[in-house]
Amino acid sequence: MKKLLYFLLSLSIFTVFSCNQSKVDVITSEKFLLSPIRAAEFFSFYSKRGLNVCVDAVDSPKKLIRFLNFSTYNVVLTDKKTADFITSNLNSWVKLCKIARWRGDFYYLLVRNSLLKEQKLVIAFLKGWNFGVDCLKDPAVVRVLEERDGIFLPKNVKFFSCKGW
Amino acid sequence: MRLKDKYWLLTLAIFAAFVLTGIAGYFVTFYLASNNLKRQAILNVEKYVEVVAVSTGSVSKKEELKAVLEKSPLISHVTFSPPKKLSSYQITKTLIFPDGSLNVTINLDKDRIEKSASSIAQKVSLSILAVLLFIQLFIAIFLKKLYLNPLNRIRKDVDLIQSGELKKIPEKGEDEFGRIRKSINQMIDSIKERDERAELISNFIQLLTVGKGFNGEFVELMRKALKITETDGVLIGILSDEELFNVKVITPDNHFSLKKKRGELVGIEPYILELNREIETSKESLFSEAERELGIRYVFGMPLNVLSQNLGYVIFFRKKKQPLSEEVKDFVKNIAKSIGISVKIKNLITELEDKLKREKRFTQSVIKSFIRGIEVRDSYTRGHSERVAYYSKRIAQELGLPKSKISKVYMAALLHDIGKIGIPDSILLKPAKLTEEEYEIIKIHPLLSYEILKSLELSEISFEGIKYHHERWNGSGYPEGLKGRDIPLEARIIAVADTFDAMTSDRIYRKKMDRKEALKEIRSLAGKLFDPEVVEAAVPILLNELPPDGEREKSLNEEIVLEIEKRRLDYFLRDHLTGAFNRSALEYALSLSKEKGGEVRGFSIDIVKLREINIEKGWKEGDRILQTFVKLLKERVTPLAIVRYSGDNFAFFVPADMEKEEIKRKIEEIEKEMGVKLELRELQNLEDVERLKSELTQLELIHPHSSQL
Repeated sequence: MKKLLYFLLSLSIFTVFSCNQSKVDVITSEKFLLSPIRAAEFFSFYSKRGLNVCVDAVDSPKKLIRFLNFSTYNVVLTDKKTADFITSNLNSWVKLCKIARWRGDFYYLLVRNSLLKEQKLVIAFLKGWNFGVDCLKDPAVVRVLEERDGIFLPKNVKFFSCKGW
Repeated sequence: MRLKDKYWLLTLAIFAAFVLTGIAGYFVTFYLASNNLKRQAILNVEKYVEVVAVSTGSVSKKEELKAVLEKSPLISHVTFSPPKKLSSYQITKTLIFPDGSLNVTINLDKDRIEKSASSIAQKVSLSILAVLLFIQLFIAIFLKKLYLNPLNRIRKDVDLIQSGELKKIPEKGEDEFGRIRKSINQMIDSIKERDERAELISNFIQLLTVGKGFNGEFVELMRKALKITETDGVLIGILSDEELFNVKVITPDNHFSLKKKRGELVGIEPYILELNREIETSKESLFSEAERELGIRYVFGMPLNVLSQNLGYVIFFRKKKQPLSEEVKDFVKNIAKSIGISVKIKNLITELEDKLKREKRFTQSVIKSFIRGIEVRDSYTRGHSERVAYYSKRIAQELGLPKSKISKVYMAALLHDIGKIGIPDSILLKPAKLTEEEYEIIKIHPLLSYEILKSLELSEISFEGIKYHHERWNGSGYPEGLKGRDIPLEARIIAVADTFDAMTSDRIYRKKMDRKEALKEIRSLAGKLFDPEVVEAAVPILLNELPPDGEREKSLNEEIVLEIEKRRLDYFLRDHLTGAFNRSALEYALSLSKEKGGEVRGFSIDIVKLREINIEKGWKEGDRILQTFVKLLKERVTPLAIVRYSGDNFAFFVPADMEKEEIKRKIEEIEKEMGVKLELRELQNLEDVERLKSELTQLELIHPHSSQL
């Protein structure tokens, strides 16, 4: 059994070395902010480009801040206050663009420095975002997201294409 | 085992590759696994830190955070200040909390991580090595079974073939080794077939060049050729002379010979001869009736041309129209060539043999002509050379000499006296004992023989035997006075045979000796004049054997020879004017008279005043008187021999019982009849020729008037 374990371990080492898939981990404190990403996924925007986008949502900005200690997250979608707190405390994060406005608050997209080094990955992800934003203009898409993913868009929310802040 | 073989190199290379791969695999795996495990441990600690940070959730709980972190076995201690210099076993991290951020430095337990990583890496490496060895073993067995073993078997089979055992190897499988085996067997078949063909052609040449011709062996060989070429028969026509062909027809179950004139040839045969090139055809219109009856449907034939000369033709035929392959055609051509060359060689050998025979006959006839030449000059030596040659040959055989030497002795003995050609007739034919000076001239004849013959380059002659046949055992011979065994054996043999034959043959001045008497004398001279061993070997031969007549009688016309001898004898011994013996023949005449009449008496007779008659009446009258005198003397006195001793002096011999008075009376009758004066005196010294000569000279001097007047 032990020998088999060693063998599997060796095999996994081999697999880790040989496998290198592009992955973007997104975390947000507002679940509706994930809608453009889900819409893009719905149209297989990312999978067509070999991009694996994982999304997590927490129920408060405080939790979001705590979860940022996980190095796995490289994209954050949050409100302006939280975004400023993050960028002021951690220089490894960059506020990239304004992505939504709801009830007078603006929401921003933050990217970890390490992800910025992978320019193609960032561009693909942002194109996906922008594509999702466009898709959400179609009520059918919104309905599908609501029924399939349980994501309900609040009223008066406005998503922006990522063009800076 | 051949170490140069690639098989061993390959085996060694595979073994080395496996060992090196195993060792390298172990160390590379160990290195990679060890490093990876260390890195993984560090990553795990990082994850642990992250998890703990998330669960702690506040800067205010940093001591709690520290405590939790330090519980990890991989972390030795945690600080909240940045390190002066970051080592590979230190992690520094900025943690964020809702109430602010916190810098944490985690110091890892280096020894533990390294030990743990090393231990696991070792186990992993060993596992990898085991797997690798298992795979290698599997590959090795695979390689051995699939490649090395078949390769080794082929290698051994090839070794057997190389050692000369040209037999097929077992054919197994359809893979490349199976195909190689098949190819090798095909090659062996091909080689065997070629060997068989080459042997067949070699046998043809061998058979035909030894001159056996188209015998049973040839027929058997040709049948083998028919089998190999898958033909049904062959026609071979050999031109024996310009117009006649010896035709041999051979089929697998029959063979027969025909003789055909060129004009009688019909069908494909004259066609080939006419075109004088290879013909391959299945046109039935070209075949004769007889050829069609033989069932011929296809022929491949060619003329036998060697050195631009046509020697005949060879035609292979089939009873079906299927043509021969190019390879078989080449083989057939080679057979035809071998037959052609063999026929040519046989013809050349026959011609050469004929030429050699003719040359040998010519040489022998030249040699015999030489002998006849000397014998014709000296009739008393007729047959001498052949007899001496016969005795010499027999003595040589008795002495046990090799055949080649016996032949040389025989030829030397035949020609030993050829040098006598160079001896003046006056000496050679002198019917009296030779003077010392004359004998010195005679002594050069062995050298003359040698000089005459040496330029002929006759390898079958012992020149030394000729040159030294007058040398004597005690050194008293000539030309060089050699002694004992310094004299070549051939010469010692010829010397005995020559002397014996001379002693037992008549000479002009003496009668022959009895064989036994001659042999007795020769035996008495053994160790003095002759080699005792040669004499000993010669005794039974000389005593009991007579030489065959040989071909002398066939080559010389006896009557002509006798006539020639007579005339020459007359020329040398007789006075040409009167027909009486001349002065030189005095001894011969006396000897002849004694031989005819036993006891004899001799007289001298002078024609007085013959010179005056010559002056007065001329030489013709003098000559007539001399001729008339001899004629009348022969008629009236009938002497046994008459010798004209000088111009007008004669000597004659009569039987002893004839009265002197009667002779006187008859002389007086001649005087009256001729009208001349004759002076008759009886001679006193008939027993000794030299004294007789002196007496006659004295008589000539006492009565000079008689000759001068």
